[in-house]
Amino acid sequence: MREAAPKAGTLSGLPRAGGDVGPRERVVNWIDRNLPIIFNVPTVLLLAGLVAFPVLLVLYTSMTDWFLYTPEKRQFVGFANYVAVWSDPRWLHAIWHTVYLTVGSVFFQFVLGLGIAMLFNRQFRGRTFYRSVFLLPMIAMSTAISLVWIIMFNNSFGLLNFWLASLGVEDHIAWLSDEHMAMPSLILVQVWHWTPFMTLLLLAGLQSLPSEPFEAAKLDGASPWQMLVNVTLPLLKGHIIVALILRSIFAIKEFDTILTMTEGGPNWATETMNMNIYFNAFDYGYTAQAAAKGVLFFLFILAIQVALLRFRERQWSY
Amino acid sequence: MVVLRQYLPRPLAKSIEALFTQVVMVLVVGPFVFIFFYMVWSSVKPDYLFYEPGTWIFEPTLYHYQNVIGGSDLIGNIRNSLIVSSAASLIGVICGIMTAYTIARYKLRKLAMAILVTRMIPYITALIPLWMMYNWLNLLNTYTGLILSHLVITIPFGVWILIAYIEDIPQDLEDAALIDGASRTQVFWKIVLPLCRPGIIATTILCFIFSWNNFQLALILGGIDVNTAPVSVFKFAGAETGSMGAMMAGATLVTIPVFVIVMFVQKHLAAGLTAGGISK
Repeated sequence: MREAAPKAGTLSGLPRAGGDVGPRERVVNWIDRNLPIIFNVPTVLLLAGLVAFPVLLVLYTSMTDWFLYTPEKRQFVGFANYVAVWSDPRWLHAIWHTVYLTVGSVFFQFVLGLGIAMLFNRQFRGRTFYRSVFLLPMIAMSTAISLVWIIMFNNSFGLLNFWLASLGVEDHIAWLSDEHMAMPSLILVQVWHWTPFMTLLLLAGLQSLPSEPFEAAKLDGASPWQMLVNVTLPLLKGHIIVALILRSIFAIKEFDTILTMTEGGPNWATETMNMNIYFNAFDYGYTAQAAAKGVLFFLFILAIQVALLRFRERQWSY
Repeated sequence: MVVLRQYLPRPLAKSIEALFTQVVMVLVVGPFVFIFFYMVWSSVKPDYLFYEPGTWIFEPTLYHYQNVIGGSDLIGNIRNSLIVSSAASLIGVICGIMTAYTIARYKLRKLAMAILVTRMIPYITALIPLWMMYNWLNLLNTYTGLILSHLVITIPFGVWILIAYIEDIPQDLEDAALIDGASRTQVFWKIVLPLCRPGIIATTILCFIFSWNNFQLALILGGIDVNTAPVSVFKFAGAETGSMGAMMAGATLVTIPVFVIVMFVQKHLAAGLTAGGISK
């Protein structure tokens, strides 16, 4: 994507063979010349209507006092909503819950994912089979697997408590209905759901590494642990950072499993930013404030994404 | 492992190692697959055994499937999902291949960046204004509205994946055709599209899966007439009357078909999912 674009309809400036003859030729030439525009008309129109205009609308809405159920009383209030959201204790808690869920789930995904990626990075029988089976959680419908986990987590006849009981732990854990256990339970589901993705990203990194440093370390008699800390991790650093940021963006936006399994409860202990905006906009009708929160949520993600892009560019440049 | 090789004859040490690897892989992959096994096996478990989670051996019953198919709106909603996801993935890939071609061949970096930015916007932020627009345009609870909204998933994803496939086609091939007097449109139809076919098929299937699994768009923009499968399955969670067997039967019905489809794009899956993950 670096060299200058060739002019449409021509090859390195040369006129196209045939030249213009009749009106049909002229139409064809016109289409050829304007191909980059004509081909992009549907995409650009659709995305303008479905993304660009809505973004302008949400920016405008966030500066009004729009209450969903009295739409006729709408006034421009400037940045008042952006100030007001910071005195909403539930929003502040939601930010904390989002960070909790993100850091918790991405950390365990990383530790597990790195280990599993290193296992997959060797030749053994049935590797393709194991890998494709291992990827299944990624493509499973999140509301459907939430149902399975709801049953696994059930206090009185869930499988997890049954297993704990057979290990001698007689106290039933209230996985989803205890304020302090609900978030760790959701993190467990996240780890199950997305560790395969982390593995995939790290495996791609491992497979791109040169083999010489590993051979050299082996000759020098490095232990497996020394190999991991002194060779693998430093070489993989770029891939690790990209994978961590990608997974964090996913985790920040998590919605489906939380709504299905806890609906933000108990006592809003699992309400993330995404959930909070959803409730405010579509349950309570605080459209304007929800719009302001939505914009902040977008900026929050954008900041992380820009960090990712910058990092990738730096990787490209050397 | 190295220790084994010192004390045992080489072939024996090797086969013990191989066996050990298999055991480790089963232990690692097992928990991730177990959930699906549990889902399917529970969907044929008779109701009276549900309070005995430790009972694994029983006479399977299809009773829950009959219940779900006959007594809930899941099948109708699966049909809605099929309509919405097929239309959205087809339109997405058609728009996607045209845009991807121009981005790859005319180096439209700014357009590529703009499309990447559309993928960064969280659905919930776009959904507030989309809901307002749909309300004005009477698009709430319609197929048209839902298909349009799913294009937000499929177009950017399609463009992003297809750029890579088009860049793999040697430019010389196209240049040769242009020198021979073919028009750009002919080159696109007769060279690019046929050569991209495997990529286009894989992208369509991946777009379909992302659209099929999407919950948030249909939850807010859908309605009784056009609820999709994920929304239907979500409602099982809140239904006090629904039995657990029915929950699992519903979950199985929407999950397993996707696994079957995915077997056809095995090769492209890993690459597609990685690229698709740049932004959910």
